[in-house]
Amino acid sequence: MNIEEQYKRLAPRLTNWLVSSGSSYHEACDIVQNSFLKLWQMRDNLRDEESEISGLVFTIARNLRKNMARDNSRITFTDEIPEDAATSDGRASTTPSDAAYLRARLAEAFAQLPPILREAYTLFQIGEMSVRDIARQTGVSENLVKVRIHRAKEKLQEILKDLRVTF
Amino acid sequence: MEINMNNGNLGFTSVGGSSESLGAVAASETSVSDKAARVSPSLTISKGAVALGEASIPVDAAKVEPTRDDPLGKLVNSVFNLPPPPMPDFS
Repeated sequence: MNIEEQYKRLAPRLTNWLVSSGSSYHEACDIVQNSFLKLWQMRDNLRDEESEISGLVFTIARNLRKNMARDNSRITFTDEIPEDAATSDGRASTTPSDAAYLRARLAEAFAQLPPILREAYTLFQIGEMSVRDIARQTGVSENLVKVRIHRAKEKLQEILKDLRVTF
Repeated sequence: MEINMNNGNLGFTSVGGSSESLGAVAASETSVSDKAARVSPSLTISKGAVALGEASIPVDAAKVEPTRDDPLGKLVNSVFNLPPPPMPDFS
């Protein structure tokens, strides 16, 4: 396993998934680094399969977060992320305050979702996990994962219906 | 509120182009729910924990592969696009 390659591939997804799930940015960064250090310690027992490594590092991160934050309902987004922080692909946010506002709006919307819908949607959309891997990780069928994602989208679109997106 | 996502960047000022509301995007999924509501709630799921509201699976939703490229998904990915922390020392 090339840990550096895995870090480059997975760390951005994991960081943003943690933030979208209620962790502060700094907490997410700590969890991401610790998760990969734990993964590195387990390297001799791992098969070199991307989906297995992806699922494992998300599971490690989830467990670390449970240990670090007893109150999972805590949502802290604003003021913890540097306003000049570049995005993970190197672009600067056009308007940092706008991005912070939207991040807070989306975080509030995610927080209104039932946990099982939130988990399915954020793992799929932000964690970029496949339906199959989410099913494996959450212990439900692939069809049920699809249903949860669809229902999460429906609820999010209802909650955020005042937002209009122009492309 | 109107959000521009021009070349992946976020902004609040309109610069033209087609616009689509998040609410409008739900139209196709609304039809999914409508169909789902007519499905008999007799199907049970034996694997994993399932909430009460999921006792009946909307068949159509289960058949449709979800996409990340819808307006909601693009907005989510534009907003949650924070840089990861520096790589730790694995030596």
